[in-house]
Amino acid sequence: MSQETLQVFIDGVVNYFQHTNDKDVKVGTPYLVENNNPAAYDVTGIIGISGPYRGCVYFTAPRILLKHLLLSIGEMDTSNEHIFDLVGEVANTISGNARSRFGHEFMISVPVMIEGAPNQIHLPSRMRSYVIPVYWKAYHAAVVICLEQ
Amino acid sequence: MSQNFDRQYQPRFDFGKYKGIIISIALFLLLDASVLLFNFYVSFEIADDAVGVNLAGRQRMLSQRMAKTLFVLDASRDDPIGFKTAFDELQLSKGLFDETLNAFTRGGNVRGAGNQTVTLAPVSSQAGQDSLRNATELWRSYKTAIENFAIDFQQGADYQSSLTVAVAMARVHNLAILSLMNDLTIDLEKVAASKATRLQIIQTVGISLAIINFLFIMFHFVRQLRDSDKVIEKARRETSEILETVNEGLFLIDKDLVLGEQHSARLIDVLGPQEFAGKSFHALLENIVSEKAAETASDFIELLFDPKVKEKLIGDLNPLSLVEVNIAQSNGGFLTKHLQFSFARAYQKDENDIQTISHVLVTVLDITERVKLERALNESRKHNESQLEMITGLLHTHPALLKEFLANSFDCFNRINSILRQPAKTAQSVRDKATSIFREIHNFKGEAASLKLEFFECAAHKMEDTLALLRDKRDLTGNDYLGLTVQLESLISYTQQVEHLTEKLGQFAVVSTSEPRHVSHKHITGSRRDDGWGHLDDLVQNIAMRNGKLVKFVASGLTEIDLDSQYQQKIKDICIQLLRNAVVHGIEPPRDRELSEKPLIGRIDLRLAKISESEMELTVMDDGKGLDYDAIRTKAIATGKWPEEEIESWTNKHLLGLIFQEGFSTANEISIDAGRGVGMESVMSHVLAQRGKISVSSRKGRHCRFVITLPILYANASEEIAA
Repeated sequence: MSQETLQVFIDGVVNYFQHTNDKDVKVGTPYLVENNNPAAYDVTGIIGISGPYRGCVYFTAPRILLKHLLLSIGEMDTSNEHIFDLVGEVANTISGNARSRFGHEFMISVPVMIEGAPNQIHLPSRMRSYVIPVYWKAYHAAVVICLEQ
Repeated sequence: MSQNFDRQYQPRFDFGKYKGIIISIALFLLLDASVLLFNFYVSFEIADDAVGVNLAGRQRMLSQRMAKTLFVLDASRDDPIGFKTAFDELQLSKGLFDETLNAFTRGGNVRGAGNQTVTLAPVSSQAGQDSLRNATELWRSYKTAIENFAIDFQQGADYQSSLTVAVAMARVHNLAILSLMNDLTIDLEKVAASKATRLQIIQTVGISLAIINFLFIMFHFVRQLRDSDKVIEKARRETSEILETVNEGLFLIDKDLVLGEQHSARLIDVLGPQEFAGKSFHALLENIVSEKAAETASDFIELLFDPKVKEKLIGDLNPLSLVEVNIAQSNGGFLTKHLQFSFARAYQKDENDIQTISHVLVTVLDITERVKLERALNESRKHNESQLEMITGLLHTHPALLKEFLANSFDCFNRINSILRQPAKTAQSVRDKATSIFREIHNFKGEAASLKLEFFECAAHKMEDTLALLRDKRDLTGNDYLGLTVQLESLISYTQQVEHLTEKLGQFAVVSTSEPRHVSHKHITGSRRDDGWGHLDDLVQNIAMRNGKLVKFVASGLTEIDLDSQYQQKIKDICIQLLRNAVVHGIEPPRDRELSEKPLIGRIDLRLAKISESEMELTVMDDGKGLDYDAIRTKAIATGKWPEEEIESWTNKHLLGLIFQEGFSTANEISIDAGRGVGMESVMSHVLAQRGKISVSSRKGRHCRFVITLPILYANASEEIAA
C-alpha cells in the first residue's frame, strides 16, 4: 500500500480535530501490528473500503478522550450514545476525506461503531495493520488501516 | 427458456380445444328446439282433433234431433204453427248433419258450434271411415225421405205419406246412425288420445336426450377443464422448477426497464434479498455498480428494444459483461462479487402474427469464483516468478545461515517496530527514533551484506536513505515516519515470503535426503558452526570487490569458544562493522599499494582469543593506510558542530573518539558499504552494552588495529538458564 493512500486516512482524522476548539493534534510515528492482536481503545468506528484497495480503516479512542472531545465541541451530554455518535462522526470525516480524494473508484461503507477491537471479519488474521497514533491533549487515540490490494 | 416465457406471456385463443363443447351445446339447443317445434305441431293437431270430436258429438245430437222433430211433425199434423217450427228445425238439423258427414268423409268447410266456419280434414282412421261409410249408406235413404217430405210440404202438396215414410225411416235408421256417430266420436277421441300419448313419449324422449346431452357436456367439459388445468399446472410447476433450480439469476425487463413478476431463486443469492418484481432496473443496479455504469446499462437495454438494431452487433457493447459489485454488509464491510450480466431479446407474436420484442431476458451469473481463480492463478504465476528470482538470490547462502539471518531479521524488525511504537510527543523523542532505527537497520544491512543477500541489503540501504532525510528534516513529526513504516512493512512481507520459501525448500531437503534424519540434523548444526564465521570471508571479498580492492582475509580462533548463539550474533555484528571499515577505509586500492611498495593484496586479520575464563579479546587488524586523522579533522570541521579552532587543537586521541560518534563518516559519499557514520557507533554501543573495552592503534600508511575486550557468555550457560 502506498504512503499516499495511508496519508489520506490520516489527514481525515487530523481534519476532524482541526474543526474542534483545541486544534493541537499530533500524529505519532506509525507502526505495525499483526491482526491477530489488533490495536484498539474503548470505542471504535469502522469504515469498510472496497475497490482498488479493500479492507477497513478504523478510528479508535478511549472513552475519556471522547468525553473530553464532546465537551470541547459544546456537547454536555456524554452518554454512551453520544460517544458512539462522535466516533461515527470521526469515521465519517475519514470516509468523506477519502471519498473526495479517491473519487468514485472506492466504495466506502457507512461507519459501524463497536466497543473494543474489530473482529476477524474486518481484520484478516494473515495481514498486518498500520497503526497511526493520534495525540490530542493528554490522550492517545489511533487510526488503524488494514487494506490489501 | 425463452419459449417457456413466450408461452406464458402469450395466451392465444385455441378454437379447436373448444370445438367439442360448442357442438355439444349446439346439439342440445337443436334438440330442445325440435321437441318444442313438434310440441307445437302436435298441439295444433290435437286442437283440430278436438274440433272433430266435438263435431262428431254434434252429429249424434243432430241424429236424435232429426228423429225427435220427425216424431213431433208426425204428432203435430193438426197444429200448423208447431208443425212449421218443427219443420224448420228438421231442415236445419238435416243440413248440418249432411254437411258435417260430407266434411268428415271428404274434407271441407262446415259450420261450427258458434256458427263459425271450421275446416275439417277427411277422417283417416279405418274404423272412422267404416262408420262414416255405413252412416252415409243409411243416411242416403233417410235423407231422401226427409227431402221428399220437405219438397211436398214446401210445394203445398200432400205430405202425409212422405212424412210417414220419413218417420218410418227415422224409426228404422235412427238408432243405427246414432250408434255409428257414436263410434265415430269414440274413434276420433282415440286418435286424439293416441296423439297426446305420442306427444308425451316424444317430450319424455326429448327431455331425456337433453339431460343426457347436458350430462355429456358437463362431464366432457369438466374433464377437459381439468385436463387443461393439469397441463397449465404442470407447465407452471415446470417453470417454477426451472426458476428454482437454474444456476443463473434470471428475470425479464419490459420496455419501461421494469423487472417482471417472476425471477429465478438464484437471483436472491446473486444480488441479495430484496423485492424484485416491479422494481426498475436502474434501481436494481443503483447500489451495486457506479451511477455511470448503471446509466450505460440502461442505454444498452433501450438499444435492445429497438428492432432496427441487430442484437449480435451490439453484443460487445454490453457494459455489464463483467462487473465487480460491492454489496454493503450490515457489519460495515463489503461483499465483493464478480457478476456477468447477459441480455437477450424475448419475442412475442402480436395479433397479426408479427414477432415483436416484448421483453429483454437478463441472465446474471456469479463468476466470483472464476475471477478469483483467474486472479489466484495470475498471482501465483507472478509469485512463482518472484520466488524464482528470490531463489536465485538465496541459492548461494547456506540454508542454516539463511534461517538464522531470517530469525535475526524478524527480531530486528520487531525492535524497529517497537521503537516506532513508543509514544513520542516531543520533537526530540521523535528525532531520536530515527537514530535508534538507523542503528538497527545498519546492523541488518551489514548482516545481509555478509551473506550477500542483495535484496535485503538494498532495502535496508533505501531505509537508511529515508532515515537520513528524516534526520535532516526540520520540524520532524511522527507523520514523517509513514514512508519508513511502509518500507518496513514491505521488507517484513518480503522476509516472510523468503521464510516461507525456505521452509518449503527445507521440506524438500528433508524429503530428498536418504540419510537418517538425526544424522542430517547433526550435519546442519555442525556446518552452521563452521560456516557461522565462514561467511565473513564472503563478506570481506564481496565488499572488496565492490570497492575495487584486493584483500586476503585471515580468521582464527572464532570457533574455539563455544559462545551463546545470541551473543555470538552480536560479536558477528561487531566483526561485520569492523571488517567493512577495514576494507572500505583501511585497505588501499591495489594501485596505491603498488605506489607505496606494499603487497598488492591487502591483509585483514580477525582473531578471537580467550584471555581468561571470563574474558576474550577480538582483534581486527588491516595493513592499510591507517587512520587518516587529517580526514577526520576535515570532516569534523565540515559538520560545523564545533568551532574550527577548537578542532585544530584536538589531539589524535580526541579525533579518534569522533569516529565512534553517530552520523560521523569520513567516506566522501554514501555507498552501500560506508558513509552513514553509524557502523562504528553501533560497535561502540554493542561493546558498551557488554561492558567491554575497545582500543585502537594505528600507524599511518602501515596498519590499523582494533582490539575489543569482552566478557565470555558460554553457550551451555544460557541453555541452562533456558532449561
